[in-house]
Amino acid sequence: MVNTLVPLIFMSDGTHLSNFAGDKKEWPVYITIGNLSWKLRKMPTTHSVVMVAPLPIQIKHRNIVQEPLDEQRETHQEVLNEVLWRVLNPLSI
Amino acid sequence: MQCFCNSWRVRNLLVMVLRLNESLKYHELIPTPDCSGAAPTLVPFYSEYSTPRVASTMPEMTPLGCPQFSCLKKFTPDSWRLKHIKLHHPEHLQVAYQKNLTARSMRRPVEPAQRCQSNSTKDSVDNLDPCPNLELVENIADLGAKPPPPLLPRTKSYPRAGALVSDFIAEPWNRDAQGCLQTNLHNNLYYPFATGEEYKYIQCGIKKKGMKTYYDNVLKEENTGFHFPRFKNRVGVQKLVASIPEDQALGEWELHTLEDMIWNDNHQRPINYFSRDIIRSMRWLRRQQAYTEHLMYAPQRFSNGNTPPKHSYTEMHTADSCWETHVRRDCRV
Repeated sequence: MVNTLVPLIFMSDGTHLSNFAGDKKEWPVYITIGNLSWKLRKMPTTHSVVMVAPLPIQIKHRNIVQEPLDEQRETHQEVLNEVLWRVLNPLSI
Repeated sequence: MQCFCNSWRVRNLLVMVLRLNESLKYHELIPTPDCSGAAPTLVPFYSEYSTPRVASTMPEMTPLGCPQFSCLKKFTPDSWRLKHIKLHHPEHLQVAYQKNLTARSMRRPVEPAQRCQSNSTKDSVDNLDPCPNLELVENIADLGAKPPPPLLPRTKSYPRAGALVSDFIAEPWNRDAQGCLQTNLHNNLYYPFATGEEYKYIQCGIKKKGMKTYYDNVLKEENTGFHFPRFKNRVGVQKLVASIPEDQALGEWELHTLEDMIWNDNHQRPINYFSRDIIRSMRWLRRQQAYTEHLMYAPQRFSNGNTPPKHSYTEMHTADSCWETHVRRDCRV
């Protein structure tokens, strides 16, 4: 029996969208496969990267004292971990 | 006649006529400038008798170190006749000559001990070496001792791992089997094309500018028509290209909600996010015909004899983890 291993590569980075109605940013999560050659994977014209989930946008910290700010940051991390766990959950089966 | 020649207009005309003669050189007409003294002397190229002498008021040390540039900056636009003036001061010429000699001089050889000293005192600006590798290459070339050519890396593939996708046996495409896309893709990687040759043939036509005439001309040939009997003209090709499934296997966007979580007390609205199935996205990437020749499934190792295996860090199929995963899986089976 011949086995096949397909490595999955996930990536995410802040993407600037617009300046018109306030600064709009997005944090999308992309996926690609490691079987693909690096030369092809790095080229945007090959469309070898697929967006699987835009992460929820966090609320902004404005005029918040230190203690609520720390709580807000912890909440943001929990939300981020929960979303990523749900998105990547099919791999755990 | 002499009276006329003494007038400055006639003499100026005479100078201009003499310059047209190629046998006479420039320095024969112009008196040699007096180069003695600290200030530079300006030598005009033409109409030296009709324009007044320029006062030699240039400082010895120009801010940019370029006498010509500072000279051009010094003159006003009114003196348009003097725009071709050059400086011939011996001090400036000597400084420029020494600079050229310094730039063209051979690099001093750097000893290994001296290089260690420069590394130990990295913070000092005097010992800063901008391009040490170039000097090292030059020294090696001077010695004439060429290193032996490296051994060619030998590629070793995992024996029981997945083969290349290009080795996939393509079955003929069945027009009636329109129902399940996954089944068709499992049977034929180039679905909806019959074979890989058919896919490449259509891909070549799409890349060309005159796609319509290309298909019409090529399909008229006997050999091409024999290989692709499904296409009679470009209309059939266009229909087939239009039937390529775009995002059917990629998966639709799904809206999810985090029920138990809120941002804070002031933001009570539920937290929503969109996502796709990553397994279907992976399969969509894997089944793209454009990547077929570039996909690698078998782990590989590159080694030169007794040396440890080399890794191409940009390719994941050369990693140790990929190889070891296959070994563990085989042991489990």
